[in-house]
Formats: sequence, structure tokens, C-alpha cells
Amino acid sequence: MSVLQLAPAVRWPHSTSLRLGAGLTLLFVLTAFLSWLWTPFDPTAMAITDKLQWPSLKHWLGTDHLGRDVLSAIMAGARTSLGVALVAVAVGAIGGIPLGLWAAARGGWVDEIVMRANDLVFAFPALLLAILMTAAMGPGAVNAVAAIGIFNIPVFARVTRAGALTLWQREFILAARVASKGQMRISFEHILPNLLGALIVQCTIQFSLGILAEAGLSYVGLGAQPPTPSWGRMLAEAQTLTALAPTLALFPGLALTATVLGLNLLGDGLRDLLDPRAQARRSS
Amino acid sequence: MRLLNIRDLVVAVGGRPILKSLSLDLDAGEVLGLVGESGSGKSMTALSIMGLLPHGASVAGSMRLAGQELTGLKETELCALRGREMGMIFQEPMSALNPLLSIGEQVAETVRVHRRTTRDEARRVARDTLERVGLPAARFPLTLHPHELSGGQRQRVAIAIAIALTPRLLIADEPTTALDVTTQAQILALLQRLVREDRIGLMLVSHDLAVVAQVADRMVVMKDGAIVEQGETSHLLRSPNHRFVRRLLADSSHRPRRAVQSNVGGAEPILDVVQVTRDYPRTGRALGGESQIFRAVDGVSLSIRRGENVGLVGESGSGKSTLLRAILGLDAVQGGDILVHGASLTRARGAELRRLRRQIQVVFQDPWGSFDPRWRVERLVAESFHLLDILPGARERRRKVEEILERVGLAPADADRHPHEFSGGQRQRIAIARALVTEPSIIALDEAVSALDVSIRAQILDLLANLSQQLSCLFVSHDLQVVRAITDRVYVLHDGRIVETGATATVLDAPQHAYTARLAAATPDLEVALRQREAHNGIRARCCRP
Repeated sequence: MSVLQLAPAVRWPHSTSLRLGAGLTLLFVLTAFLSWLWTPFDPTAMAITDKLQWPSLKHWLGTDHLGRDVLSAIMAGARTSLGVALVAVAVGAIGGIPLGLWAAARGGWVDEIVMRANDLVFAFPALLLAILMTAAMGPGAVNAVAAIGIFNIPVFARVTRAGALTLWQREFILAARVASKGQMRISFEHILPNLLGALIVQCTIQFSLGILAEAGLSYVGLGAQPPTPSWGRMLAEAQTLTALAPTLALFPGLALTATVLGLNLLGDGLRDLLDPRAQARRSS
Repeated sequence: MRLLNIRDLVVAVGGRPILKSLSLDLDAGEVLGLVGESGSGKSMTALSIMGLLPHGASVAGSMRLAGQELTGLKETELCALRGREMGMIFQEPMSALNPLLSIGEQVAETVRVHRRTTRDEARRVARDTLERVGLPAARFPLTLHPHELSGGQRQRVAIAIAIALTPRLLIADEPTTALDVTTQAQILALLQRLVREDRIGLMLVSHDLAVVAQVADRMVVMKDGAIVEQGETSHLLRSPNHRFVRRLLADSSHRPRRAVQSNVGGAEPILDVVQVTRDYPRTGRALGGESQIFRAVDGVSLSIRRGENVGLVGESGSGKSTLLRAILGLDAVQGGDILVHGASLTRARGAELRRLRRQIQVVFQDPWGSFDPRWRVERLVAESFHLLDILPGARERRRKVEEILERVGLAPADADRHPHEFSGGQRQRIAIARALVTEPSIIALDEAVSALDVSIRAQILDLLANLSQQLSCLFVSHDLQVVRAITDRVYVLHDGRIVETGATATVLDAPQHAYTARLAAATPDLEVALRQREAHNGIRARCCRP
């Protein structure tokens, strides 16, 4: 039984949700990279004569009120979303994981201070404070990244600490301590590698939340500023025109939904794949 | 008609055969011992009868409980039988109970599931049943929760749940393996009493031959999903026919042969524990209240000389694990000192601490938990090199790891494998290799052979006996059989204090302290159990002879 539990899973997963999630995520990432090299039109080029067109062979997803191609804007918007969310997750992980490891390793007052500081950040509604921050420091993609990233730190710190605390009780950690290894060394040699599964899952979930948060900030005009394309701002601009051009809100909305759904499915699938208990369930 | 009648039971899980044509019988009022090593299918037999096999299991053959066929019953029909006609007790009482329900509710729940009774009636049954299993409501109110009870008391609650509706068949799967010996003796006595009073048929699944010899009237020995031998307990154990049973018997009473230690008495102690005290703050104190202190180890002194094997014996809560952690330098002590070759471990820091720690290495109890699952054996074993002042180079490191693997009976190529590729016994060898690689003077073994099958245990004990001519071993264990087999001297720890110490044979055969005597008496002994059984059978044979 235990042999099965610890065997690393290398075979291709059979779970549909994982495949669907991985597919959608891959589509999102590829679109974002493709937009650097090629978009059907310049996403910022206006053509007032072609404004508010329905989807056609020329403009696959139609045009907006300034005649900009929607498909190109969505592709370029994917790049913004990817960039903001990626950096925000990185800020959260780089700030939060060492904090969590430190709190779990030291315990006592270090743990107390780190976790209470986390509670403090948690206690504020994240998006509201992000709005406050961007309002104070001025709107823009960089400030949005900072605001979202800072709220990712306690999430990663908490997940890391919880996992690390149970690992510190394990006998192989005792064995490392008997070998006189320090807390720092044990944390990075033993604890972190054994937490990677949980942390990767957390990354995908924070990633999707980051995309949502960026869209939310852009929607209220505090995220990426024009002319940088952003799904959130596309939605905000389309809102007033729903009666005239309903598809204008539909496509960025769909892109956002599909991406967030894909990342969440990927996270769930990865969790099942990396969780040893789930492995035992599958193989029994 | 027999109570339980199993014919040609074949069970496969996911296409893999688990039980191969199993046939056995059990009468009312009889105790049947089911014995085998891990993976022999004894627990699977129990689960088949209860209809609790995992998904994807296929069952063929016949299982009759008081004439009623169990194979092929639907889940709802099995539910009606479970708890009312047959009950089951598991190894780990904490996980078998619901931590959120009071003990009264948990027993009453079983009653209410099967009988249309009022809440009051169910509670009355629960109170009576708990009283029968030795938890009278006056001292153990029904409102207690599992976490407020000791392991033995929890197992009593689990037994109460199983017998609340006086089932005809009771299956106990390693019911005392997780318990201390004195608690084990009480639980076994309780089970025997219930069998006598209610004429329950008890199937006792166990890896411990001594326990089975003590309790079971008949026994079945299993290996690889099949029965190798069955029969009356004392007859089977006195004159086993099958080679496997003979080996099992030899292994379970195995005493490794050790070279006689010369000059032990005069040698300098390598480890000196002097009046060590270890305190814990009590958890759960009221806010702003006085913090209370729990003294887990109270002024303990012990010493180990070169080449000597010393046992540290005590039940759970005696403080033996706490003391071991202090000796390994994992926790600070609140009083006293620990001297390694005369130098204080408790005051050492940095390089000095590494130098002293190099002298004492450890093998832990759980062969599954003591390795980082992501590391390969070479890196695992070489982790102890961190204690050296100069780390060996890659080639030197590899050479040393291969050398030590061979010394503990593994192949040099095993260095490239992951721990999950090894069996429990092999993993314990890797743990010993990791402990030995820096050439310590003392190895501490924390219940290091308790989790192993008897055949593997015998091999590991032999390996340790071979190694210990050069080094000293500290055996921390609750298992007096093992301690007797391998140690020269023993310390008995009770409530954080050493209550008795001396040569192992003297202490265990003629204990001076009441606690040691209780411990020695409660430890199941195959020979004693068989003699009692034969005497009992003899009396029965004489008085019943026409």
C-alpha cells in the first residue's frame, strides 16, 4: 500500500478536467505569446469607418466603437493578463514561501508575528485595498501587479507553513536534524521539495485569481492604461454599448471565463495527480 | 451448525489475487486466531467477511454466518447484518472513533441504526454496554469525547460499539497492536470475558504468536493469501507440520547470537546522562493564567559503556521518547547534563556539537517515514556526512555509501534507488546504514524493530548483533521480548523516572519494582501461554473423560 502511495506519478493522467484545464491554459499562453509576433490587425489601430462591426471574415470577432479589431485586442489582452498574473504570482511565491518556511522552522514568536501579520493583510478585502493602492500610487499595470502580488504573499505563506509544520514532525526531518543540519538547510533541502506539489497547485489558483483581479482593476480603470489592451477595460467599454453591439462584451468575457476555468481545472487536476492519497485511490 | 463457515473463498482486487481458496470454520464461544505476516491476506479475510472490501474487489466462494450466505449480498443487506450480527474492532482506536461525537452517542448510534428505539432506550443500552467493557458511567460519563480517553479506554469504546447489539461474530483486527503491554493484557482479558459471557465467536487477527497462543482456541496460519496450516492452538504450535509455521515460530522467539562482551564492566562510559530533567509547558492554559509545567523526564541518569547493549523500557507516556530526543541533542534540557566521551552535549554548539553528535546516531521506528521520499538512497545515507568536518568528494562519498550498504546486507547498486522501491525490512537496513556511515560509538534504536514482521525482525536483530561488537546500542522499546533478546542491561522508565535498572535477565526475571513486575507479567510469552493452555486442556480432558 505504502509503496503505491509514494510512487511518483509519471504516467499520462486520465482525468478529463486536467486535460481540459491544461488545454485551455495552453491555448491562453500560446495566444499571449503569438500576440507578440502576430495579430490580425494592430490592436490599437483605430478605423472609425469600420466601427461596431459584427463578426465577419475580415474581422473574425467584429470591431469596437473605435473600429479596432476585437480578436487582436483579445490576443494582446491575453499578454497583459499573463504578464500581470505571472508577476503577481511570482511576487506572492517569492515573498510568501520563505516566510512560511521560516515561520514553520522557527516557531514561537517568529511564527506568531509572521502569521499575525498575514492575518492583518487577510483581514482587508483584497480587491478593495488594491483599488486603494492604485488610487494612491496612480493607475497602471505595474501598480496593479504590486497590489495583487502583495495579497498573494500571505496565501503562499499560509499554505507553505501548514504543509511545513506537518513535515517537521516526520522522522526523516528528525534524521536530518540528527545530522546537525540547520533549519534553513532542512527547509530548502527537505521541506520545500516535498511541498512543491501543493505549491504548484496554489500557483495555478492564484494565477487565475490574479487574472480576475487584473480584469477587475482594469474594469474600474485602475489597471493597465490605454493604449495597452486589457480584457477588463474591453468589458468596461463594451458595457455601455451592449444594446448596439452585444458581441463586444461577449468575446472578452468568454476569454476571461475560459482562462479562469482552465486554470482552476488545471489546479484541481494537478492536486489530484500530485496528492499521494488520491494516487492510492486511483490504483486500488 | 457452525457459526461461521467459509468455503473456497477467492478474492481478487483489481484483477490481482488476494485470497486463494480459503476455507475455515468458527464456532460460537470460540476464539480463532488468524496469523500471518504483512501481505498474507489476514486482514483481507476479515474485511471480506464484513463485506468491507475496497472497490474493484471480486469475491467468489461461500461465506455462511449462522447458515446465511454472505457472498453476493447487497450493501443494504450487509448493513443490516453489520453491527447486529457481526461486529469489528480495528487496530487504531483513535481513527476508528468519530472525534466529534461523545462516547455515549457513538454507542447509542449503533443501537438506533438497527433497532427502532427511543433515544433514552438507546442511551440506556449504551450505558450498560460501556459498563460491561469496563467504563462505568460513574467514572466515565457518556458525554466524554474520544480525545479525553487513553488508547486502551478508546479501544474499550470501540469494543462497546461492536458488542452493543450482542453480535454472534466479532472480528478483531490487531486490536492491541497499538497499545502498551499492560493495556493489551486488559483488552485481551476483556475480549475473552465477552466471548465467554455472550458465546460470541471471536476472530482475532494478529501478527503476534504469543498473543494468539494466549487467547485463541484454534488458529489459522496464512501465507500469500492461502492457509498453510490450521488446528488447535497448542497442538499446532507444539508440532507444526508446515515448514513456514516452524520458521515463524523460530523467528518469533529468535535471540541473536552475540559474541560475549569482554571487559564491559571496566570500560569508560561513552554516554553519561546525569540527572536530566525535561519540562514541557502544558498546552491549553487559560488566557492570562499561570502556565503549568509538565515534567516528562525527571532526574534521569543512565550510562552506556563501549560495546554494551542497553535497553530503555517503558510504556507510552513514560518519557522514553523525550529522553531519547534529549540524548540526540534535538531538544534542550532543563536540568542535568548529557556527556559524550566526557564532553557536555547540552552546552556544545557548532562544530563541537557536530563532533559529539557524530558519536550518537539513531534508527527510527517507522521504516516508511524515516526517509525523504524524493531522495535516492545514496543521498539519504550520505546525509550523515554533514556531521563530518571535511565533506567527502563525490567519488569518495559513493565508495563509502556502497561499502556501508554491503555491510548492512544490501547491494551497492541500491544506492541509485528511491526508498519506496524497498520493503520495510530493507528500509530499516538503509536506516541502519545511514546511522553507521559516520562510524558512531552509539546507535539509538527507537522501537526500530516493532513495525517489522517476525522473520524480518530476526534478520535485523542478527545484523545488529553482528555490528554491535564494535559499537554500543541503546534500544528504546516497549517490547520486553526484544529487549530481553538483545540487551545486556536495562533501565525501566515509569512516569519520567528510572524505577529499576540492572542486568536484563535479572531485572525481567526477578523484578524488584512493582511496575517492572506488572510489565513483565503483562508481556505475552509464547512458552508460558502454551503451558497454561496445555494445563487447561489436560484438566478438561481428564474431567470430561468418560
